[in-house]
Amino acid sequence: MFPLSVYATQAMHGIVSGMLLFLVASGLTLVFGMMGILNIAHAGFYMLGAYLAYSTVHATGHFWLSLLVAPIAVGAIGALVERFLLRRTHAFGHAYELLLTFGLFFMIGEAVRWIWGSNPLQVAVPAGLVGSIPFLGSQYPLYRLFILCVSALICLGMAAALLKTRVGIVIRSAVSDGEMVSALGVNTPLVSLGVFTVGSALAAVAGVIAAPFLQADPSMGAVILTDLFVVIVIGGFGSLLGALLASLMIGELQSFGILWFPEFALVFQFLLMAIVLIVRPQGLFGEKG
Amino acid sequence: MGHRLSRRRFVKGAAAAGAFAAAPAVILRPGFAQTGPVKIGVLEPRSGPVKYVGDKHVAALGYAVEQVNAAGGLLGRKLEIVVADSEMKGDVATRRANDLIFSEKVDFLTGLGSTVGKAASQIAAQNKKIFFTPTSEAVELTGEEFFDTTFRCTVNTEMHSALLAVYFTKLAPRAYEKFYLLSEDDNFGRSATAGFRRKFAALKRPGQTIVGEEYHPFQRLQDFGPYITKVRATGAEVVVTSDWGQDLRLLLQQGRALGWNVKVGSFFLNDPSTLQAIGADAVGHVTASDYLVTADTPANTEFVKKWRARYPNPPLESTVPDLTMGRYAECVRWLANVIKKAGSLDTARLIKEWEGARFDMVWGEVEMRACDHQMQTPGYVAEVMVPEKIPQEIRYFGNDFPYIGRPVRISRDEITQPARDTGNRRCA
Repeated sequence: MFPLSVYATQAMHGIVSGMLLFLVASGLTLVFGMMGILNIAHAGFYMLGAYLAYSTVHATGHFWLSLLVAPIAVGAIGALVERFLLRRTHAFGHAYELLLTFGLFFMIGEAVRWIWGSNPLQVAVPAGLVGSIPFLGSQYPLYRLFILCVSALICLGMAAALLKTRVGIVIRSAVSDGEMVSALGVNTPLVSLGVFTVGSALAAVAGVIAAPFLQADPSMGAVILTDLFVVIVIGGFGSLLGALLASLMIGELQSFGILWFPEFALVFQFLLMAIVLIVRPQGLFGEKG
Repeated sequence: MGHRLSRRRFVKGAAAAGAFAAAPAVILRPGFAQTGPVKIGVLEPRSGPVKYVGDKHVAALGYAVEQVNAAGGLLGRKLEIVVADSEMKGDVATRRANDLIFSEKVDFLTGLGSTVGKAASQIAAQNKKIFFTPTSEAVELTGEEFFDTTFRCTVNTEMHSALLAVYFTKLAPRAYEKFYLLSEDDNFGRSATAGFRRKFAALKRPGQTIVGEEYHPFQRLQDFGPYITKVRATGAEVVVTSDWGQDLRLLLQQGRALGWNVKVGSFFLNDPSTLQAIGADAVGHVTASDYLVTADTPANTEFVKKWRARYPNPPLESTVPDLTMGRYAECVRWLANVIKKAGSLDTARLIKEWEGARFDMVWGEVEMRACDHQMQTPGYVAEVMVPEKIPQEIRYFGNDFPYIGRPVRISRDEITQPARDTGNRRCA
């Protein structure tokens, strides 16, 4: 048996990796809820964020600046993708949109290799977040705690924006009945454009935050893609709260799975997904389609 | 970003030098016969995430082939490599190996990785061609799945893990007691771990124990925190791992951040791309191989000097020949020597010539054991150091990032796998 501090640390690992996963998934689920598009290129945007963090740090020496540069740049790319690609395929149905974002995902991957090369690139932990703090008789890295705080803040920010602001009300109404909202004089294409841009920017923020933890690596998009799908399926397509809960569950399942049943650690998340699909096919917080 | 452009130009240059620019030289040197070049078919990743590994191996082969041709070629003919994309998949490698043999009429096959190696060794055996490998360490290739056309000119997993076991039980500066075995969950990780266990059990000193053995998913894990916390909880002082690339990088970085105080014994911690990305968190850990670029022999010093003169502006990963590159280059040099001695490309005569042959690799004298075609070789273990501690003459990367220092040498008798234990019927 392990001392108590091991269980506590393990639980922290689960929360931290769960929250990082949520940060990536949040933008994806927002876009899906609003537009019904499962944007596979989202994982590519996340990777772009990490690489832009590398380039920003490399060029200016300021990590924090990349929290501005990456979301703006990737948000702009997202806006162009929505306006000039997705909007044109929309009429042909979701299958075409899926194929389009799938293709984009590969194009982004190749572009990253072409621009930055195949070697992993190091992004240093920003000064001030280097080192660890004492944690239940052990120590815990500051940067992991920082990941936790940023993700929690963004989560709260999104919830507040969606529930308390006028824009949020419009978005939520557009999700539930787009035609009606459009008939009421709201410019729904503009709302779609905005949501897709914000979703892409969120992916970039996640990439920037992940960069000092995981480094910028050309395989990071593909690696996170499976986990993203599991999160979205368990949480329910389009549900932010569902994504949050699913991310945390996956984080903890992995953490304690490795502690107790290391041989099967990665099976648990798929097991959970299977159970959810059987019991509640629309996901924990998804609406019946 | 400057690296990227130079890499592309570099690979092109290396490939051209090794293979595709053979024609002008043939015209210039009427000594080469009209029968065409002697061809080595090479199966390497030429696309996908590990393409850069294929790039540096093509560079190493290009170098070796150039050296052979500069010294007059083989049997009056030029040596040439023909590269095909293995995509690191067994079925693709099988198809491409057939293409190489039937369309390109190659005389030899080689390629990266154990899956590709197994596929290529079968195709080679079916077509009575020699398959030689400086990178596939899976014991079965020269053991239970042996073909007499297969030759391994590097260590197998048993020997590779024996290097680490000998180091930690006999040579390490401190008597480490608690060992944790943590590797990727694939064929290589499992046999490397099993090999370490066997050798460790035979050599361990009183008090030395293995406190944990574990496998993690292959190249897809982001957070190693849960594993590291477990390792810490056991009080392990040494972690032995077959991890490489992204897994090794994340393990070492996150381990340090979470405050583990262990020495990592690794199989592949010597490639500059990984070490540059890991940075200071790699310092103090050790790596083992038959060839290490920092080995202190006159022949190796000469080899590295010539390499650097040949490739004056290389991309990072080809600055110096790392362990697999050195093995590739030396393996081709040995093959050329065998062909010259046999005076023929006839497979049966080559097999006879290579069995039991001795050769001076740049890292020491080796022998091709006759019964299983497993090279017997001394090996090295080196520690990663901050640049200031690395002797000036081998500080190949300046003060940019930590790299391995001078290694300790371990004799071939200490790491050999007894012939009767190989599972090869010819050795029983």
